[in-house]
This record gives sequence, C-alpha cells and structure tokens, in this order.
Amino acid sequence: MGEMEVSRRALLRVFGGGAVAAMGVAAAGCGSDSGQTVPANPDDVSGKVTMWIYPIDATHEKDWWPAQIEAFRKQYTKVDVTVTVQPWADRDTKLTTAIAGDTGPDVVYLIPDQLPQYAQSGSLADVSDVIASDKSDFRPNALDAMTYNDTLYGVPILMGGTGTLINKKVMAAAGITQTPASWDDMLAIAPALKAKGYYLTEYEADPAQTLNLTFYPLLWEAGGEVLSPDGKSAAFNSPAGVATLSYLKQLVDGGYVPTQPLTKTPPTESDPVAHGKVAVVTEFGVSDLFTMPGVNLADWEVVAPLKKTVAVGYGVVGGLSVLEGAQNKVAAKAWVKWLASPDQLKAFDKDRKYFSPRVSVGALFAGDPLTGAAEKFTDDTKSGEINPKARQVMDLIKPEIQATLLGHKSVTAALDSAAKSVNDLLARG
Amino acid sequence: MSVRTTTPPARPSAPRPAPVGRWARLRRSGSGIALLFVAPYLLLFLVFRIGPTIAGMLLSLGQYRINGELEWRGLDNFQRLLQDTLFWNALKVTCVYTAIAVPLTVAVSLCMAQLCVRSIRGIAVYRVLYFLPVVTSLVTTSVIWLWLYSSDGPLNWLFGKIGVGPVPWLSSGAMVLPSLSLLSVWTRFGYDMLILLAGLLAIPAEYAEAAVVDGASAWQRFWRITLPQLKPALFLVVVLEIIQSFQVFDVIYVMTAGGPERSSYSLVYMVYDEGFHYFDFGYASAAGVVLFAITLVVSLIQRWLFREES
Repeated sequence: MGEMEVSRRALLRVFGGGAVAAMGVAAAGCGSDSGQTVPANPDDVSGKVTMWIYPIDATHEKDWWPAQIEAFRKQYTKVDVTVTVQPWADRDTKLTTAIAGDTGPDVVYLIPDQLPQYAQSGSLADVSDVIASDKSDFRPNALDAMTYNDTLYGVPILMGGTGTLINKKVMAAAGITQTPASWDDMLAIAPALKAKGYYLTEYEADPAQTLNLTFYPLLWEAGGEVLSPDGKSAAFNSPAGVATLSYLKQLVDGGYVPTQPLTKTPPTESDPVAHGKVAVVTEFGVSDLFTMPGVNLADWEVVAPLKKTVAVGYGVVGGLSVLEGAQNKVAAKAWVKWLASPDQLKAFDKDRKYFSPRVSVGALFAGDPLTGAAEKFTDDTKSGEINPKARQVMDLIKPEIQATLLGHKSVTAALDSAAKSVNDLLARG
Repeated sequence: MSVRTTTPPARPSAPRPAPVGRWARLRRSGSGIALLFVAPYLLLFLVFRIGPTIAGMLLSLGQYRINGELEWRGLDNFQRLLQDTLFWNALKVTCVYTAIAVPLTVAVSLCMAQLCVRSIRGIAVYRVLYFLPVVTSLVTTSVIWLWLYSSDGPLNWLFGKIGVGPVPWLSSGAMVLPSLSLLSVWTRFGYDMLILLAGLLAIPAEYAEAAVVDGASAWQRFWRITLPQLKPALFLVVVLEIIQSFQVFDVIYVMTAGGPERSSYSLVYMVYDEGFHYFDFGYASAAGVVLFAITLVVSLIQRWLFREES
C-alpha cells in the first residue's frame, strides 16, 4: 500500500480545526535545531523555560525548586524558569497528549524505560552538547541509559541501585551465617529458611511489575541479554535465559518464594518483606525499605548483586530531556546544564537519597550503612533495554514467565513462545 | 352633469394567513426554544464525542506520531489486527467477561428491583443504600475488592471456616473473569435496579390483581405478567450492560493488569496499552473502531428486537 505523509496543516484543511484538535494532532511544528548550544556568557541567553518533574522525593519536591530557580536566575538573569511537579500516575498519557497538543514542557524528567519511545517519535532534542565539555565525568552506564541510536537524549541527574538486601534477623533465625553471593548460595540456604517458616526471596510476576526489576537482572547475572546487540531479535531464550527461568521455577516449586506476588503484587503493608518473612530481596532498593511500614532498618544489610556468571543489578537512571518542540532550546539547555553541574547534582541527589551519575561528586552516603553500601555498586548496574519496543517486548515476555511459574508451561516452551512473539514484533519495525 | 367615475372598491380579499416561516413555526411549536437549550450540549457533544470518534476513525487508517506526523496506512492496521493473537485474545476475554457479567448483573438487578418495589417501611433508605456503589469511585471499589480477594483476605478467611479454599480469585486464569464479574455486579446493580424499578412501578397493579383472582401463583405472575411488561426496561438494561462490559478497563487496570497470563486482558486495555504505553496510536484506534463496530451492531440488534416487540 502506498504510503503518504500527511502534515498537520493538511489535516486541518481537510477536517477542520475542531476535529483535529480533538484528535490531539497538534504537532510541535518546530524543525530540529539541536545545533544550538549554550553560549559561554549567560547574558546571551534569554527566554522562558518550563520543566516537568515528578515527586522523586515525595515530601520535598515542591519546596525544593524555588530556591534553585532563584540561584539559577542570579547567573542567567534573562531566563524565567517554571517547574511543575507532576504526579507519577499516568505520566506518559499526560506527556504524550501535551506534546501532541503543543502544550508540553521544554524540559522533562525521563527514565530509560520511556526515553527511546519519545526519541524515536522525534520529540526529543539531542543534548550531547550540554555535557560535551565534561562528558568523561559521567558514569558510562548512566550515559548509555540516556543514549538512543548513538545520540544522547537526556542528561543523567540521578542513579539508583537495587543491590542485594539481606534481612540479618531472618538469616540468624534460620541459623545461616554465610551471606549469599550467588544463585548456588541462594539455593543452598533455601531449605533451612523454609524449615523455619521463612521465604528465601520474593519474585513478583504480576503483569504490572516491570521486568527491569525482576527477570532482567537475573538474566544479566546469568550472562544473558534480552535482545541481540542490534536490537532486532530476541536473545532471552538463550541458555542463560533457560537457566534464569529454571532457577525461578526451582524457587517456586520448592516453596521458597511467597505465591501471591506471582499473580498480584501485595500492598506494601501486607508484603511478606515488610512482615519480616523474607531473607533476601533483589527486586527493590534501599529507598523502598525506608517507606515500608514496620521495617526495622537495623535488621538489614546491603551486599553486592548476586552472581551466576556476573554480578550485576538493576539501577534506575533519571535524566533531563529537552523537547524538540521547546520554544527556546538554548535557554532550556542552559537550565539543564546548570542543574547537571556537580554542585547542583550533589545537593539534588543527596536530598533524594539517590546516587550521582557524576564521578567527581564522589560518595554521597559514605556514613550511611544501607544507602552507602548500595552506592558502592552504582557502576555494577544496568537500566534495561534501550529500545523503542522495550515495553512491548516486556509485555510479551511477562505472561510466558508467569505461565511457567504457575505451572502451565515448560521453561523452554514459554521462552520459545515469547521469543517468537518478540521476533514478530521486532520484524514489523 | 359631471360623471364621477370612481374606481370600484376593491373586493375584499379573503384573509390570507400570514406567511409562516420555518422559524415562526419553530417558535410556535416551542421547538425553537428547546433547540436553543439543547444547542450548548449539542455543541459539546459534537466537539468532544463525535469529533474524537471521527478523528479516531481517521487515525485508525494511519500511523500517528506524537510530534504530529501522520502516515497514511490505509487498512494496514485492520489487517494487522486480524493477524494479531493478542487482539483475538482480548476480544475473547471481552466477550467471555460480557457473557458472565451481563446476565449476572441483570439477574441481581431484577431481584433487587423486585424486592425494592414493595411498599414497606423504610424502603427508600434501602433503595438509596443499594445505589451507593454506583456513585462510589470504581478505583476505590477495586482497591477494596482487591483486598477482599487477596489470598489471605476476608473472603478466603470466610471460605476457610467452612473448609473451602483458599480460592484463587484473581490468580487463576479460570477464576479471574468470574471474580471481576462479581465486582461488576456490585458496582452496577444499583443503576440497573433503578431502571427496572421504574419499569415495575409502571405496570398497572390491576394485571396482577386479576391474575391473583384467577389463581395464578407468584412465579406465574412474574413470568406471565411482570417479565413481558418489563421487556422494554429490561432490553435497555441489557444493552447498557453489554456496552459497559465491552468497555471494561478500570477494574482490570487496578486489580489484575490484564493477568494472570492475559486472562483478563480486555479490548479496551489493549487499546490503552497500544496507545499510551506503546505510542502506536493508529493501531490502538483501529482496535477502538472494531470495538465501536461491535457495540453498534449490538445496539442495532437491540433496536431491532425492540421494534419486533412493539
């Protein structure tokens, strides 16, 4: 079938403004001018910048920004900045409709899970120039997470890490003295924990849960990858993938994990982790422990990510992206550059208990037994597949993993079925 | 002598009715003012309902990117739908859910309407109480039911007392749709009950009285008199419920996210995923158009059945 590009203006002519506005077909309409860089002299920058951020720190986010804007304006006197703290819920729905309706912000906070889709749709500007002068100061895994098709679409401002959380009290109650470092170690201590009424770990196969926190880190630990290096075919059905799913199946069949999270993640207050029933947690970070009711932080310690063939864990990277439709890209980039400077990042990350993507910032939580321990593994983290189809790929794998763990499919049948669906998806382009 | 000639007086013509324009007719019949009152709603309806519907249909024929580019694809999205196992699964889930939820909700609503039609002391309070779930937020209701259905929740505790369970309400592929249908009954029966109640109250009492005199039993009176008289209201309720069931989304979004193993992955959930999760708006619109077509066909069948009855 012949393909024809239809511009927004043509649509407006044919169908009238009302209908097209209702469609949300309001393109940014701006050509790419990613060549615009921030001038050395702040007085040469002027204009308005709007930024959407989310409650990274739920309690202080709104109060944090006015002082930063004021400090920025002392340097960039001709730039007005407005920061809007948007709710996490439905953030993509709001952002996509805002971009389509030409009411989007100039700068937005994105994570690697979102970035490739927006980049592929042509909604993001290249921000390589923002960090060109000190690129080497950023951790490579942070930059990789914000890079799509060899172009940097977001300046990293924070990093997180899951590490391996150990409930020392549970381990002691089961008479275990050796901290597990590998899958074999995990399987070795599981019977002792079960005998005392504890679970070895927790695995959330709930379709609402991201595989970035559950299946993928285990796959990486086994030396596997989700997709081939060119991103055009499935790679998770490799021997490493089979080993990963078999390991999980072993945990479920052995009764070493609670069963409810296999279908629905329990509310925090009734999570077996919060109730002190789980010995080892790999699916969330230290910051999650802080918000769990009833958790005694003194019972916990953080150790290196587990290892099958390589020790690696999931670590979120958050970055600031400049939208292609930004009214004033130079001013937007100036704001991002200022925020991503070492001094600003230090304050930003420390206040939110995240780690810095800049090496020069150094350790922020050296004195903190939990967060400080997790911070040491910042370089050993990956943040998921940087692919515009990553979410679809994930949604095709999830039901197959769940089917295996619920005993409805064999490991190889599930992985092969998922691989076929993923390959079909990727072949569509 | 002069002759005065006078022009004969003009013959008085028959009184002609004043020309009645379209607007005058509208004014006389009162339709004009009615139209004026309806106009704001009509405008909003056109802009926010008809407009997006047409726009969605147009989008289904292309690939739309959020930066405004629209690429014409003809019927490609529909062809892709036909080959997509995910779509067929979503359609099956939606149909099965509808087949369970609709009869269940209508049956409960009818029973409750029958109970509420009686003139007993405090019946108004009961009617209000039964209507409360309708005005409660669906998300709030879903969160509460999530707790009720949890493996160590109150329902399983209750079943455990009689030696049954634990029942995998939401964790089994076979149980998840009946469990969600129960929630649908809870949230919808109050609204349907109200419609059926109005229908029941409109049935002349003489029919039932005559039947009693003839010696008809309660069941015979219900089957032979109440049900046939209630058919228009019942048809309306059935159609509303079918439309509602075909559009099920909120409860699935909150309670199961389409799982386990896509056993509750409905068509609207798929539309949401394809649109706002994968940014494939054209494909999402195509699925939406199919849903629209199904709903339209069902509504037309209902209309035809209703005419037959008339």
